Amino acid sequence: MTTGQKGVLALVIAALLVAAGCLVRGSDEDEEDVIPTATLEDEHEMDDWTAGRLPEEVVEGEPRRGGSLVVRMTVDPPSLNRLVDSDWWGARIAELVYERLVDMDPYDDPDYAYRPVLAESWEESEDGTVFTFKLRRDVSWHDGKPFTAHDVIATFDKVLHPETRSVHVRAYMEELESVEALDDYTVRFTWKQPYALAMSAMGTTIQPGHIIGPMSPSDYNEATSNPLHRRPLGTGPWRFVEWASNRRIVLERNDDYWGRPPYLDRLVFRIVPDNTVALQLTERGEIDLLVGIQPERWVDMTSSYLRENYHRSAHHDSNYSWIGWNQDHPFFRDARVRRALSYLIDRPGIIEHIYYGLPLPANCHFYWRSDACDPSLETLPYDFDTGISLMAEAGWKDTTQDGFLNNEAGQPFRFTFMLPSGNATVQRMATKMREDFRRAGIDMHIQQIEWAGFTRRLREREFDACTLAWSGGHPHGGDPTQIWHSSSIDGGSNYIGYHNEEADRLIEKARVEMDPERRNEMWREFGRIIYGEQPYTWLWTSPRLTLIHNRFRGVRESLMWWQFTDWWVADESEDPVDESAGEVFSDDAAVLEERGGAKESLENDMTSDEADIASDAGDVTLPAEN
Amino acid sequence: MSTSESMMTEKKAVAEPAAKTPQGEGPLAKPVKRSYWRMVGRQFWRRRISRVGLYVIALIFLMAFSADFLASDKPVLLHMDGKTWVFPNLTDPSDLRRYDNNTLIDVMGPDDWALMPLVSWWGVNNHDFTAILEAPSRRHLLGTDPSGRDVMTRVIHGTRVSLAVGILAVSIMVVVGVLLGSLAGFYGGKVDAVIMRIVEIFLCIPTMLLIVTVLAILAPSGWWMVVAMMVCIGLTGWTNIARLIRGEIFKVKALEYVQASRALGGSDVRIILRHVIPNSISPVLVSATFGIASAILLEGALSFLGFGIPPDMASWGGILTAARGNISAWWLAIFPGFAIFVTVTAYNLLGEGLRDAIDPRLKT
Repeated sequence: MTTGQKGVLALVIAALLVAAGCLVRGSDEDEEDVIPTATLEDEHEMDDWTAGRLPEEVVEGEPRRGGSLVVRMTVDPPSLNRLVDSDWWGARIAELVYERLVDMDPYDDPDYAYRPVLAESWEESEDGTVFTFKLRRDVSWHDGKPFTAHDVIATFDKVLHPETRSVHVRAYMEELESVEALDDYTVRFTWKQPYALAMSAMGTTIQPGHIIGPMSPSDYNEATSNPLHRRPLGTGPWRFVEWASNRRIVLERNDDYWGRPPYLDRLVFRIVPDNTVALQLTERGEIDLLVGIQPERWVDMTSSYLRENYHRSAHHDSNYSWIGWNQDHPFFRDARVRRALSYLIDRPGIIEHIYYGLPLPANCHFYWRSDACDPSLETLPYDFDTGISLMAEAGWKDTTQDGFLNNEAGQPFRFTFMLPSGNATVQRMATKMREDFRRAGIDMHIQQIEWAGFTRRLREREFDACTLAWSGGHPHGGDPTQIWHSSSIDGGSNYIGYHNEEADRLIEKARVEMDPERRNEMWREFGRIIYGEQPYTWLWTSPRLTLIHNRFRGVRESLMWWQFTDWWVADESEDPVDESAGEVFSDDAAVLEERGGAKESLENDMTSDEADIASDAGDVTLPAEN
Repeated sequence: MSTSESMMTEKKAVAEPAAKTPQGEGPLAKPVKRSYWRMVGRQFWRRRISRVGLYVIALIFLMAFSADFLASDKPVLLHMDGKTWVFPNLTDPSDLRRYDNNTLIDVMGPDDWALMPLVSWWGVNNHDFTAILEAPSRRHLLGTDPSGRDVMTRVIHGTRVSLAVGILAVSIMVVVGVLLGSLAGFYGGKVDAVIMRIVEIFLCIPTMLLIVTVLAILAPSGWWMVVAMMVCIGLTGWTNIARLIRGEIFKVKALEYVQASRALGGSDVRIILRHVIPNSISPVLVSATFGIASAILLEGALSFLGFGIPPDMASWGGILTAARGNISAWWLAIFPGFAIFVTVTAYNLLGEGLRDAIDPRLKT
């Protein structure tokens, strides 16, 4: 034996000796492990900063002109034409530059009534199929051309044309028969039958007819022939200035705006894809509005600079994360299996420790505060034994004694869980799920795919299970056709291929039901059906975690994101709080009362195909392919 | 120098059959070859720093092979309820599925006993929710990551991925590179021109981009991810080796012993395999050793960027990724970073030692 071999042997012996030191005996007493557990502060002991509440004073003071706001943007959008690309960020910019005939009042919680914007007033026929809009006469495009009914006609011509890439908008206009201009300032919409979301469909952002009118549909689709993709031109309070790819998008105040122009001079959307870098830039004061904060950074925000200079907002808006079980996969066709899987995932633990208790448990497709959700639905708990017995009931037992559950054919319960790459928090959830499932004898493999490949597989249903989030759900329910109806399995967003006759029937009935009470009753029934079947494992509603520099005033949380038009920069030295302070808002309130009409509508960008797919629960919204 | 002597014998024992098997006949050639490798071995061994490199690599291999005994969520031996399990850490029996070391201790009675893993009681994918992002402590020797997984366990198990990536990627590189390079070098002319154009084409493929693309298209999971990565690294990295060996062969094929073999009627295959390659392989070995080091770094970089190993598997780059988002958690950066540093340095020392040993100008 050579010395080298002796050395190895000695090492092995030493290892065994040390290992003997690890010999453990069971004890007969129950020893309580003393493990320090993280205790959350009592809710009422939290100050505004910790709780993520905006302090009262952010809406106080007298608005003044001037200043600019730097917003962190997470991705470079594919284009700024929201009627072609359904990217979330593109829609945010479009929302500022363009306007609609009518829109929902963002602060009118919980009614979210429609208020006139480009339309001065409207009339609805008795049967709810004909809408006549009177347009404002004092509106002009950012290039100086006047706004008329022809712009509305041109926009709807493009959206309704089957060759434009506006499927996500067109999907809500199936019942629309015609749009016609009665004169330069009157537009009439005729519907084949009453549609609950008619107002929302007619409230599409209007684009300049003198630019898009002469274009062919294919020219309209492409950035090379359609200048609006890179340089949006609207009627809105903000005028587009520049878009430096992967760097920033700049908007400035439109001083010729027909309404009250914004107070701020400029909005700068700075494109910073990396969360860590974005946080560091914020700590240097280079970003005024930071979105996309990871939960662990949120709870552990110790920087005194941030605490002194920023407000925090944790707003649970309309979104929910889910795990989808592909119905094409034979394992997931059995509702008992899907329920069992929901029982076997330690969701409370994940919410508490990976998401630091920030999200709310979700069990409803609609906005969690809306009447379309059934409050009596109980979230399935983490229950190992129930899960195992449900699996056994469905025929999954470990008869082969290999540690994995198998069916009668001896097939082990093995599947792949697809997630978009690059999101650390979702990864953590996936690894925890893998551990939980392994304990139950289910072999789950994690497959991370970058975003473009992920959405392609999603559309082609080339996956076993996946996770995503829907965000931007309508305050009053909306139309789940695109996500849940069996007609949306091919081409729509019913990515998991869910098909249930009863659910289909309810959707078809409810979407044309004009009475909110009866419609909500149908949505609740629909919610009970899908929750019982668990084609999704409902995860949670995440808060939108945001840091806002405290020099801004007029800052209010809303389901429709931030209303920058109402923001101004406080000047502490000359900022007497007087009666005139609230005037700006009281104006708006007056308009609301006047207008409080139809409540039910679907915000376009949330129901649109990819716009709503967020890789995390709404905080990071990734661009759609195309 | 007793150790050095013993290693010499070992070295010879390893080197000999490789040189010998293809030889078989010629009693003259045999001693010449052996003395060459013996000389390289002596030269290599003479430098302490190269020896250190070799020792460290041996230690890392040992760690990779015994990872389940060093760190696991199951005991090495377990006696419970009158039943004895041997190596439940390897076999992962279904009866114990729902337990880990900590929960086992709770259910064990007074007569039960267990032999625990040597270093860490935690499994690679055990989430200890009571210790999220915990600094090094008795419970978690090197701390935990943001999911509460034990960093010690993950560093130990991460050696497997790193070694596998390094060695398999380089094996592919060497096989492809030597094959094409020797064909090009030996035949010259058109064959050479074609093969060198292929080399140039492959040189243009950015490895990182190729890996990202392949992973996106194939979307493998688990160990297939590692395999896909290794194949990509291997298939883009062989060009260097092909060029090296081509140059060597240009030199060697004009030498007398090749002429002699040809005069004796040796076929091309025989000449290439028995005479040309063995005499021109040494620079390839050097380049391969450095290749392993860079493959390990590349894997680390890919996992760091989130394109690499699936998050439930342990890899050094993967732990580093978590460090990036949690700057105050120094233990997430220091330990896997140190592991990468040590491994890459050891391979580089080995490569340098080999290079110096082979360099004829340094021969004594």
